[in-house]
Amino acid sequence: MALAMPEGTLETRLERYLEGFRNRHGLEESEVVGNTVKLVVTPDVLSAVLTTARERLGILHLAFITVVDRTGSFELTYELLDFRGAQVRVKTTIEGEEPVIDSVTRIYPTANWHEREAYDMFGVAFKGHPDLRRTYMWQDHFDHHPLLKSFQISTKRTFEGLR
Amino acid sequence: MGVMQKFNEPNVLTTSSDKLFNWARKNSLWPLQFGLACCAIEMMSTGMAHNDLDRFGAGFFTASPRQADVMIVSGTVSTKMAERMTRLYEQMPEPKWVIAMGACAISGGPFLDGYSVLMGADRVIPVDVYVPGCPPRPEALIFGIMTLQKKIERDQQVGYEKPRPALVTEDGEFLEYLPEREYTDISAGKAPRFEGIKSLKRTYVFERKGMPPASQTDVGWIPKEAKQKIKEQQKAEKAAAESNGKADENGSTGENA
Repeated sequence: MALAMPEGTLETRLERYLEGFRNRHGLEESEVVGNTVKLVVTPDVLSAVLTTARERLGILHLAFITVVDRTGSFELTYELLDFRGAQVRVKTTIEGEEPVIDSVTRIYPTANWHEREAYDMFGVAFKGHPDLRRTYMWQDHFDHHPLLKSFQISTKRTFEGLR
Repeated sequence: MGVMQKFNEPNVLTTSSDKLFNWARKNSLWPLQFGLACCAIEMMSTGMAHNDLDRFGAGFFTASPRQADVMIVSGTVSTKMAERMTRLYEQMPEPKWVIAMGACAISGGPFLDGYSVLMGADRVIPVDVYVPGCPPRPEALIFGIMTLQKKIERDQQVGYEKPRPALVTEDGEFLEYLPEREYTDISAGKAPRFEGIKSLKRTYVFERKGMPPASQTDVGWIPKEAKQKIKEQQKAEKAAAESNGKADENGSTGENA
């Protein structure tokens, strides 16, 4: 696939992205701050929004996925880059102690490992992920998600259930 | 060499095999090329020209555990890394030694209660020398290597059982995480024990209470009282030998008369 770099100045591109998202999806919030398009969406339209970004607007890169544990809900942030200085930041909130959200690996393949890490540290289950194994913690014996607020640090836990 | 030059013609030197082998071993330590965290940077700097670890015969870092003598555990050991570290240690041929470099390798350091950090390399492998610091300066590592050399110098090849770290209590309860348990079962008492291996006991000492600082660093340190006792004994032996000699002389003169 031939890669096409986005055209136009930063302002026109940001405007184009914002309009593109607004025209196609129901967004909770949308605004441009600096060089960033900030979107807040509901979890069910998230993959549609990212598909638009990738297929319609030609934003090629998913930089990272961030998870914040708000005790009772999880805030996920997807940051997209267009390689010319513009960013798109998509925020969504999942309710519940056992969060489930659609995987975006089919849209951005790089999300594979980002989602594995989010699962490892926070226990967020990504529906449709091809291989949701843990990245850092050992797969078989460690039964915790250490970045959760409910996780208690204890020196004994390191060896708990470890062979 | 000074001793050699005193001989006027080719000759034979008598020494114990221990002294010979230990001399060879301590002056050609090959550390394993194995860095875990920021201490590894300090370890590299120790090997470079300014500090020059080669002066102590320990400057060649082998990339393979098969040729290594010393493992310098330089940095935080995460629980996942502990398995790999143990495997590397087991792949090293005997005789082998371990230096725990820095606070993390000694106790877990600032990450002590972290969810993924091993609380000291000595939980999985036996450690010979601890070098404190965060990270230790190159001088400290060099001192650690010199201490290890002292320790090797006093090592015995014959009639000596190598101390092993304690991993189970007397009752057979497991104290620590031990990967090799999985496939050898030696510590569980299932596998046959090699003859001559003592029951497992903790061999390393963390502090010697009421002892002078020299006892912490010098491996062959003996208390002052013991030293004095030895001296007195030697003196008494000498005196006895002298008096015996005198008696002999007296006896011989008596015979002559």
